Amino acid sequence: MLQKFNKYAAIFSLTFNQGLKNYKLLFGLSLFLITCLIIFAHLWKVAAIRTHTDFNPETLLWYIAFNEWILISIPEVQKEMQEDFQSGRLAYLLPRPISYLGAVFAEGFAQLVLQLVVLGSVTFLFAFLWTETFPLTFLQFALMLLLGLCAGILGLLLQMLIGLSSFWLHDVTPVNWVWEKLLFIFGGLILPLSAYPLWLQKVAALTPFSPILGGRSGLIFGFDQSQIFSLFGLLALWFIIGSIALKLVYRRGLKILNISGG
Amino acid sequence: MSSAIVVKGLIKTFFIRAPVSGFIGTMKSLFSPKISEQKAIDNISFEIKRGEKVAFIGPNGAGKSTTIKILTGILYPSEGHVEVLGLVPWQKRDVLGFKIGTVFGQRSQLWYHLPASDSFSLLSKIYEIPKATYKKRLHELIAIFELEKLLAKPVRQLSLGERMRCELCASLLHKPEILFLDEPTIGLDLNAKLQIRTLLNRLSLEQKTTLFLTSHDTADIEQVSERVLILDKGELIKDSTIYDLKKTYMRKKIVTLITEEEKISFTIPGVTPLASPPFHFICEIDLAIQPIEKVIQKALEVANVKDITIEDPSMEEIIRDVYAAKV
Repeated sequence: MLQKFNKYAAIFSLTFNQGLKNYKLLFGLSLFLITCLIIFAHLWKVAAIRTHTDFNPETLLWYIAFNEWILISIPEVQKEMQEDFQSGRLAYLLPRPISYLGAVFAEGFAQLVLQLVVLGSVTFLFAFLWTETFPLTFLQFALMLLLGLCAGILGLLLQMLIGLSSFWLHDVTPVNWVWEKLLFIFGGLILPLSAYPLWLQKVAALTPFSPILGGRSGLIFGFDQSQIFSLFGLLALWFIIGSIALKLVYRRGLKILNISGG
Repeated sequence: MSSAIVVKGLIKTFFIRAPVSGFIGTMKSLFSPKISEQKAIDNISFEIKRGEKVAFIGPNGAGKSTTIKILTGILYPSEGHVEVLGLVPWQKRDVLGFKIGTVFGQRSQLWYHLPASDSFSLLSKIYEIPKATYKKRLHELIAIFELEKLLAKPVRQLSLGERMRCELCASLLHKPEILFLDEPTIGLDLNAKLQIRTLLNRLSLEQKTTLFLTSHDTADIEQVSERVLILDKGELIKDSTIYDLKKTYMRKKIVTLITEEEKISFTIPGVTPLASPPFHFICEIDLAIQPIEKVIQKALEVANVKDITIEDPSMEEIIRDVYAAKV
């Protein structure tokens, strides 16, 4: 058991190191994130003045910061999986005494952690300097970070599910595109879910998108401890559903490989 | 010598959705797709002994990759029996994984931005190699593959030949009993190719590793393997030692004469003149029609010969002949 864990830990550590060496990517992502935040900060300032919304632009920037932080940190493992399937690299990886899905997850998790740390530092420092406010206590902030990590893990799992669609599709980009748009809408990327019509809020609550983005970041508007527990529960529930789906789809995919060839 | 690989009556059939054209055809195929049957491997049988060096060759689409995928446990056959090191691959892939190694020339198992030593260390964990054994084994492989100076360099800074030496080392860390090599010299320059072939032979000699090699480079086949399995359209059309293959199919010789005359010509049955530079006469001799001595005798009659070279046809030509004989 320990030896098995060591394999994945070694993959995690190697990917983390490789990610550090590839600092240009981290720099690019940070720059992109700051650009997004600057645009939204201006947008919300103007919108708040013109529409007299209840949301305060500073808190809204923190809301978007918590959303973008996770959104950009989730690694695009589906692209690497597609490459594995299409280039035939999968045939190379499968005979190894290690689970393919486990290895992809360990790699993705390392990228996620690295990006969460780097982009988190950039995002929160920027939000603090821009708004000159810090809307949470230290404990609340720590809980938000933990929730963010869990949301990132769920996001990673779902990206892997998209990656598995390569068994059937030549290009997973359209699936990912639709997925992203659903995440933006039902996750409340730029507009808090509480601003949505009630029926849409109810629909969003039934999807995994809400706890990944808006449901979690919405705590910035009023930190409620009971909501924290329900959010952890929701993320865990979706993680279990996602893991089962991942395993079933993978098994089905391997069967397809055997029937239709690689 | 016991068997490393046993394949009996192996058949693999794929069921492929037939491509359709036009919008209506596409819509129709969504509800009632036309499925066509494609036999990727058609009843092949062979046995490979431990320590043998075997080339597994054939044109694209001959079924090589499918066979390797079955041998490594990725695919299961439609019919037939397969045993690799006494295990049924698709049933015991986890166990087999520890006993086989794979080198795919076009894919890397090394981490691009990190030194190869980091990848080796990761692989030692994946293959659950105890630390002391790993260190000893790595030391051994570093000496064989002359990797000392390469270990600390990020993989992206290595030349293709250096990278391939590292790939081989990575595949051998867990001391596999069988090494599957798919185009191990693809893209390498002549020196690097020669180096890899020499290393593979050394590996076979010193470690008794069974080598199962697929390559389109006939020099790989000739210089590394001692036996060749030729596959065509899913059928095994030849299973022979390289020596026997040459003996059977080497019905031709290429003779080059360097003459004092700028140009000479003579006609005798079984001799086909080939394009030659000035002061040279190059021809192909069909040994079934004309013995080589007769041709040289004739040449000496018509010209002042300064030098003679007699060459065997290339492995490529021999393989071409095998396919032609099948047709």
